Amino acid sequence: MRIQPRITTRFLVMAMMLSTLTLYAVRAQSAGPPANRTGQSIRQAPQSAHSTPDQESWLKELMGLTRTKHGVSQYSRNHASVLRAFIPVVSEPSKSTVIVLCNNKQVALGTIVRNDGFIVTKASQLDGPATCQLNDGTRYEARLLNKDDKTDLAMLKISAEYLPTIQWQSSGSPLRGSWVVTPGVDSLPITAGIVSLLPHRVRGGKIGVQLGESEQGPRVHFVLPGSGAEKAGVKPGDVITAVNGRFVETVDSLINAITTYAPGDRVHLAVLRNNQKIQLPVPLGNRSGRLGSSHASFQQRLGGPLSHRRVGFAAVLEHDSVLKPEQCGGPLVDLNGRALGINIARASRVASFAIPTDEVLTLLPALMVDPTTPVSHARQESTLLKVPFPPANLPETSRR
Amino acid sequence: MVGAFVKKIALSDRVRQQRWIGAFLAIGAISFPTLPATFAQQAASRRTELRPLVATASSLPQSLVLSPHLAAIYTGDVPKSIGDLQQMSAYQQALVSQVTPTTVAVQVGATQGSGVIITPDGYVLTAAHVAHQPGLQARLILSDGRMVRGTILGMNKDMDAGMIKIDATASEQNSGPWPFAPMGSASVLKPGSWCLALGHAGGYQKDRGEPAVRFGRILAIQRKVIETDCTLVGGDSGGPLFDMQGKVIGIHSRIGNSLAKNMHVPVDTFRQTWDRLADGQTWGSLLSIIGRPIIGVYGPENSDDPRIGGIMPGSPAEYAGLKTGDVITTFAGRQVKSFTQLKQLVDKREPGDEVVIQLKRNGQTIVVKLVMGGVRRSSISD
Repeated sequence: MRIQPRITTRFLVMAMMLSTLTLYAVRAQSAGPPANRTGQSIRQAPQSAHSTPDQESWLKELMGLTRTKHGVSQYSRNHASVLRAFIPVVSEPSKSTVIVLCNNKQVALGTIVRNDGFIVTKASQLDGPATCQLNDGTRYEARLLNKDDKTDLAMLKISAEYLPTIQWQSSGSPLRGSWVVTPGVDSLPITAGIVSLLPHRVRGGKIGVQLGESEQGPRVHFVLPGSGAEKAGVKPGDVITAVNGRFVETVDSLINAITTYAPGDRVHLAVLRNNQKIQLPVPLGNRSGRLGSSHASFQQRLGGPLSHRRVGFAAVLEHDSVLKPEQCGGPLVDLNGRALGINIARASRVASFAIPTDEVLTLLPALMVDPTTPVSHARQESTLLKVPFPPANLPETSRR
Repeated sequence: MVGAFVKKIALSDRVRQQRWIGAFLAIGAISFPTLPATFAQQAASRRTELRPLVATASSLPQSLVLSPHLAAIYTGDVPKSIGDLQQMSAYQQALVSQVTPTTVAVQVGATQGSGVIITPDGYVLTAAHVAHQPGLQARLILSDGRMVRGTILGMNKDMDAGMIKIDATASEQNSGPWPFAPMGSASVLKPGSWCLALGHAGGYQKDRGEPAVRFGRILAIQRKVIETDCTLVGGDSGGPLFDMQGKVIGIHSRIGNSLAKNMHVPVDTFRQTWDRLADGQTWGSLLSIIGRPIIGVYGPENSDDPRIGGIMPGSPAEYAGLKTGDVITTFAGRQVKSFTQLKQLVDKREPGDEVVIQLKRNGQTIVVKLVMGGVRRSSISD
């Protein structure tokens, strides 16, 4: 008698397996070979009929045979049985999503914003020359055109044409509670979540000093008691010349450099004191400048790694989708498959951030300007497009 | 030289056997003056106040009527089409805007958490570890930015349940009736049911004002706890978990290591112990929920100096930057002479307490601040 339920279970599993495989067969047909795409393909990913490890784990998870390392139960909101409903949602945007690799390792996703090879991604994830892998597995070497420090967006260019461009949804943010979806390059989305908060500012950490301009650079006038600056031994009269190896020449540039780091992070300041150069590691405080509790940042990390750059944004759409840092840079779409923004950070245990579409669209023309083009030409072009000239492309880290 | 005779004391042995279960979700240091003298009078006067256990009228507007199909999804099924997803989105938008005004930020001393108003006359549910102590003054911030005063009533520390009442004279302009969400029941829910979590994750922030919403499903229900995958973090403590009819079914309490470990106090306990809570009584111990306090260091026993022999990975000590070889000289203002004494001092505190530790490293004195963690004594499902 005891064997009976096992037989039933096995039968069910087989039936489910069959239906799942059918689903994949449909997907394989619709994907097809890339058409009308030019440019140099570096490597064609194997288009095997057999399931890849990813698909295998998905199959198993679908059948409730495994619990992932995060303990995804069959009831989880990100269980494949839920994500399956989103397959038609991401069928188009997943074609406009690319994997960005550096040193042969995925560092981010990217979003195709123009069909002749312009791809937006998350700037701070880039680490050396980048390669883009399209939805069909084709890989292209990418050239970095521009970065925007304030949004952490970067523009990559690959030599390809007739690429499927992302469709934008630009009429404001959907209301809190709405489904939002993060497509990957597969038929199943990476994750789905809801809008947690409408676009809002996210401030970065503070070292806790008052500053004034001086000929040598930003000079410290006052050190806030209880701040990270005080703890690190910053003194009034010190001139701060660099933040983590990046030179700062004005108060504004210093503040811009600091606010990209989160409270709890530690920055290394190069300081000029009595004409001597010293290095001070300064822990960053919260908005009041005071050091927060170590417990808060400890809790934020319970549940997975966070993006290094996750604060200091003028406006982000906050959603509760669970992303990994290397899954940022791709589109965040609504149920019509239209991009509400670009995922820019895994920000905390409870939140991921996206730069809203309106802001991305404003930046695109400037980001697309080819920095190798003579300046006069670039100026002309940007005037034609009626956008402000892009901020000077400062070298990322200038070392003397 | 010390490392050679490091012997793990009883503290560390127990630590290794038991699972690290994360921590409470309030933010900030907890330090309070003594109780106000008027507390007894306040408690007496509260007895006579109305205590509606069931809302007289549903707070849900007509537009929030669940279709049988959506109701089936929300009570344990999954969406199967874009149509289903679109219906969910539309309904959730309305539901979120409906329950947002009932969720408040709670500040008690330096502690920040959340809460939810459950009666029009201003009874607020929160977590015991946010409420901290009966009779204390609380500052509540509504989602529209209004700030009102409240008083801590009772606490059931065994469950991490706390109650606040908005003061009758909260302010001249603000005197209710307050936006509220009725209490539901967690006992009728099944794993797989969908739910909404609201709360001021990370503490109240003016830049965003409204509480952050998270969506998820119930993974497990036990007598003492609801587990969901609505992700929570510090500042959410005391905030509401709603069922998809907008009724409060749980109060955010604590988290574990995984994103699937988000623990809520079942709202039923508030109903069962309403009289005691509203009367300002406090009972039980938070230790029964999140266990003994720890900082996460190992060391030798009976040694002259409390030198750290090892640091638990992921522990408060590691995050505070303590290192193997450091010698702890003071703990929360008390001199430390041996590791055994350190253990005694640690045991006197509660998980979530913020303590200042002085230590010697290479002859230098270093001062660090850390928030104590907890290790559970027994299973949460007992």
